[in-house]
Amino acid sequence: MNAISLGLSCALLAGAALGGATLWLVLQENGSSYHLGLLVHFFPGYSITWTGAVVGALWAGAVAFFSTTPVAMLYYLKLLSRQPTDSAPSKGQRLKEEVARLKKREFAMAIGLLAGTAMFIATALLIVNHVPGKPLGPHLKLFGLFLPGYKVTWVGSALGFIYLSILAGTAALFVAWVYNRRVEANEG
Amino acid sequence: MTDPQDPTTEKRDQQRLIQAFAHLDRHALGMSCGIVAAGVLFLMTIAMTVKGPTPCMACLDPSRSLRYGPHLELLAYLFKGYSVSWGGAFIGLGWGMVAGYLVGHVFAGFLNLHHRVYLRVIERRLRREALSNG
Repeated sequence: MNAISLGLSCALLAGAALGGATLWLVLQENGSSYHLGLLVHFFPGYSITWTGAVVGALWAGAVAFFSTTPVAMLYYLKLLSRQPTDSAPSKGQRLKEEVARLKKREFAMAIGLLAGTAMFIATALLIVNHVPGKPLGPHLKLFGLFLPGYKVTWVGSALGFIYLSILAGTAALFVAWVYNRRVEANEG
Repeated sequence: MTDPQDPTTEKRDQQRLIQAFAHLDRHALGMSCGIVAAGVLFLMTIAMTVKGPTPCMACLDPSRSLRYGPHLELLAYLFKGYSVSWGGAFIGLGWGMVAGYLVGHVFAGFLNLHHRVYLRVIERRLRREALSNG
């Protein structure tokens, strides 16, 4: 249930973000819709129109839900397999008042895996759907500017998986650290 | 088979419940996501600025084919005042903080809402069962 909650939260957030960004471009008369419109490579039926915003929101929501729920399940399974610590709550502690702590290692692994897989799938989709004679992933290959050696090839997709897993994992580790510090500071 | 009366098992069960249903601190998650987003955007902007103008292979307008981070600068549509420059990096720092904070805050809000609804459903079910059992 908790993993599904997390998946639903991510789905709502992703759907709202893509739907909102698309509507923003639809409403802006001289806004450049070319680059966001490239998402049609991954989300069939998507376009920078009113209906496209709905289609995009649904796609983003579905992708976010189906990608984050299994990762969240892994995260919670890993947590549940750990032995209890001394910081276990007292018997009378109320669930609704308890503030969650993020387990740094598990959180970093989950986010790293998610980001790495997303990069791998995005690269693989472009390779598989490539039409001969057209440039292969001209935009995704721009990641090569930040990730040395990354290209839109099968080797590149494996490299992208490694890069994104490490970078996103490190970022998640930092997020969890700052979050836990703040929660502890708030609780005094 | 685990013994339900075993204090270690009980402690672990309590911890599992807390892990599953404890709510996220929205402000704390917003802050941490904001710091990371700001840092990432700042570093990416600095990297593109240091790299210098690059040919834009995918740009539609050939007259503007040599630019600083032609794709990164598209963020200016969302972040007013942002550009791929040293000054823009600091504006991006602020915008990244705001955007990251909002994402973290909203995400935690959604998750807490789901948990609250689910806990209420369980509470009602238990109350109904208790009533029906006399």
